[in-house]
Parts: sequence; C-alpha cells; structure tokens
Amino acid sequence: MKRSLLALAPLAAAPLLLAAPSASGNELILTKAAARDAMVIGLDLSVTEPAVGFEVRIEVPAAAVDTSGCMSKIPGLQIASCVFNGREVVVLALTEGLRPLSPGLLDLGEIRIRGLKGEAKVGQFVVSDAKGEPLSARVSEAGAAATPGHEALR
Amino acid sequence: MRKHRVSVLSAAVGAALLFSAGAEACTLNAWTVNGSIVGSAPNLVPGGPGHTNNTVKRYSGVCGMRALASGNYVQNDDPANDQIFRARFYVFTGITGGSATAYLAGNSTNNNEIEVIVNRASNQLQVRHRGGSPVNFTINSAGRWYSVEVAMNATGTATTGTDPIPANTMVVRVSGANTGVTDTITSQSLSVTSGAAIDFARLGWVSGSATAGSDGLQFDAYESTRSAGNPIGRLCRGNMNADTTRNILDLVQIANNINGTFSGGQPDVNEDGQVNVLDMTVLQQIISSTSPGC
Repeated sequence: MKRSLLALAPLAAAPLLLAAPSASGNELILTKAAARDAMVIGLDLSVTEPAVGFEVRIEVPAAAVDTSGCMSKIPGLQIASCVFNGREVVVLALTEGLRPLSPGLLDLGEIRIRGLKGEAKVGQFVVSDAKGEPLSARVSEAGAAATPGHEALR
Repeated sequence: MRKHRVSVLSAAVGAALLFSAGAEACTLNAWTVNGSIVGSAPNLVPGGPGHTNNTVKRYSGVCGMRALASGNYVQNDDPANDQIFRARFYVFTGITGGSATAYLAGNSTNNNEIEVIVNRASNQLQVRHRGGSPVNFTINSAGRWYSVEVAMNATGTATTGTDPIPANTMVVRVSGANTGVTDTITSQSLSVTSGAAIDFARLGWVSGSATAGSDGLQFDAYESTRSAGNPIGRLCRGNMNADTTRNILDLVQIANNINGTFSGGQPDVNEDGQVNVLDMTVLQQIISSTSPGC
C-alpha cells in the first residue's frame, strides 16, 4: 500500500490538554508496513519518564483487526491488553505494583488490519505516573516528526 | 466526599450533604447545618477506608455513613414544602433479613410522601407514596450499591426541561450492582397526591425491622434539588479524577486505592461494596469499550 494509512487525530477535535512538543517525554512510535492483504502497524514506546501505565486508542475503520501480536510479550505488567472494540484498538498497560517502566524502548508488538476503510488515527495516547497523573506524551510515526499526543482529558 | 457542598445546582434545595467535614476525618456535621442527626455510634457512624470506622463503605470519595439499627438517620430540613422535589442517594443494601425504610421525605402533615424501603425478604427496593402500593425494583440477594433517584411533581402541571416530570407523578430510577460496561437503569412511576410537599428528608435506617448483619444499611452521595426539569443523575463509575472519561489515569488511581492510598472518585466499579482487583477488571473493560466516556 503506497499511501500513508496513519494519521494523527485532529488535535482540535476535542477539548484536550496537549503536551508541548519536546525532546523529552514518553513517545509512542508507530511504524507502518504492508504485508500481503493487510496493513501492519508496529507500536513502540520510548520511555523517558516514570510511567506506570499507558493507554493508546487507535481509531481503525476496518473490517478486521488482528491484535494477537500486540502486548503479548511484555513482562512485568499487571494489565496488558490490546482489544479491537469494533471501532478502535485500545491498548492498555499497567505495571505490577505500579513500578515505573524501565527507561528505553519498549516493543508493544503490532496490529494487523484488513479491509481498512479510511485512515487509522491515534485518537488518544495517555501515560500515567504512579499517582494517576498524566505524564507528557507524544506520538510519532517512524520517519516523521513527532507530534504532541493527547495527554489528558481533564 | 471530602467537602460539604451546598447548592451545587442553581435550583438546589441546598443539599448535597455528605459525610465528611474535611480531609482529617469523616463526620456527619454537614447535616447539622440545617438538619439533625438522629442516633449515635455504634448504630450510626460516618467512616471510610483510612479513617476511624474504616469498615464503613463509601461509594464516592473516602467517606460514607452506616446505620445498624432502626431509628438511626440524618435529616435535612432544607426543603420548604416543595411540591417539585428531586433527590438522589446511594444505598448499600447490607441488611440480611426483614425490611427497613432507608429514605423518608415528607412534611408535618404527611410524613411519608416519598418512602424508599430495602426489603430483604423479597430482595426488592420499594418506593411508595403515603403508604400506598409501592413500585418494586429487584435487587441482588447480597449487599450491593444502588443509586436511587426520585423526582416528584405534585403541582398538577407537568414540568418541562431535559427530564420533565408528569403532573402528580413520582418518577423513580434505580441502578446498581452493575458489573458490565454500561449502567442498567430501571425507571418506574407512581401517582402522587396533588399538593403533596416535601419539608424534610431522612436518610438512614429510618424505621423498620430488619436484620442488620455486619453491614446494615450504608449511604453515600446524597443530593436534592427542586429543579423542575433537570435530573441529578448517577455518578460515573470508575471515574476517579472528575473528568469526562475513564482511562488509564483512573485505573492507576484505583490501584492506589487498593494499595491504601485513598482518593476521590468512584472506585467501586462493580458496586459490590469492596474496592479490589475486580474493579480494575471491570474498569479495564470499560476503557476498552467504545463508550469509556462519562
């Protein structure tokens, strides 16, 4: 597939507080690739601040989404789920004992999309500290500049 | 429920009466501003996790109220013969037998204009007017949190607004023991006498013969208003930070509650009276659904 199937959600679409773009902050990195009849989106999290949990909502107007390769091999998590609810892929993670994730790059796996009808959009990316307060968060596509992620809904 | 909130709605009766006077302790003092406390410890106590009387349950925030015997309740006298009256509270149905009146609102002439009964013999919440036939709502055979919202209009003229009340009617909405993604709300109506009016409201184990068990009846999040057209509504299950949705931030705060750092919000997502990993599981399902918003 030639054209980009990933687009960041319009930032003005909801009353959200956005993190200021910066070199620091936790970053969700998306990598897209075509594979046979499916679009594969790789998900990586660059951890730079003490995150104990995160949530990613990817709007996927698609006929079928395979999430079996998503969040399937990350140790140290009390909650690790990746669910397609018919409208979005929701990735949710919470560490055991609310221990911060180790700094570095965390491979969240991938989702495979068939029958995409439109664009896949990251609707929300929220990273939590141990008190349930949002940490700065941004989203980037591999090979593209990072864009502020949706940080909080307060 | 850390603060005594007064008149949170423009047409409020003046009652969003909670069970804490501050962060340092759970108290019933807010009820004495324009009302009274009838009963005393150990049969009527405020409390909550992390506080004195830490076995008292709370639905929202960190404090609630427990009544273990008949004749133990708090009373609010803010209503002033209001023929249009709305009230909402949460009750934990912990009695193990018999039946008990958990809410009574009326005036000096007819003191049972609105009566809410927890009937453990039939496992029902019953709501009636002046001792008439009740409307019945089935409840879990074990203790669970239920929200009860009553909206009475005894003016003879239907109200208008987002939640109109027909003339001479009481609309009752009950929801509780929710374990799924969405709340199941059951609504029933009953006729009320034209001119019926509310001058006081009592919340607790007002009367009735029931077996208290260890939990008795427990209460939280009482609000009342004389709004003609606007409902009070339910609190958002699992929302811990008073925003408009449920997400990872709420999940972390519930985890903190389980670990002993208590905070506001509604952590008892499955409304079973305990905050534990089951609530995290239900909240995880809510967040992963298409409707995480409040």
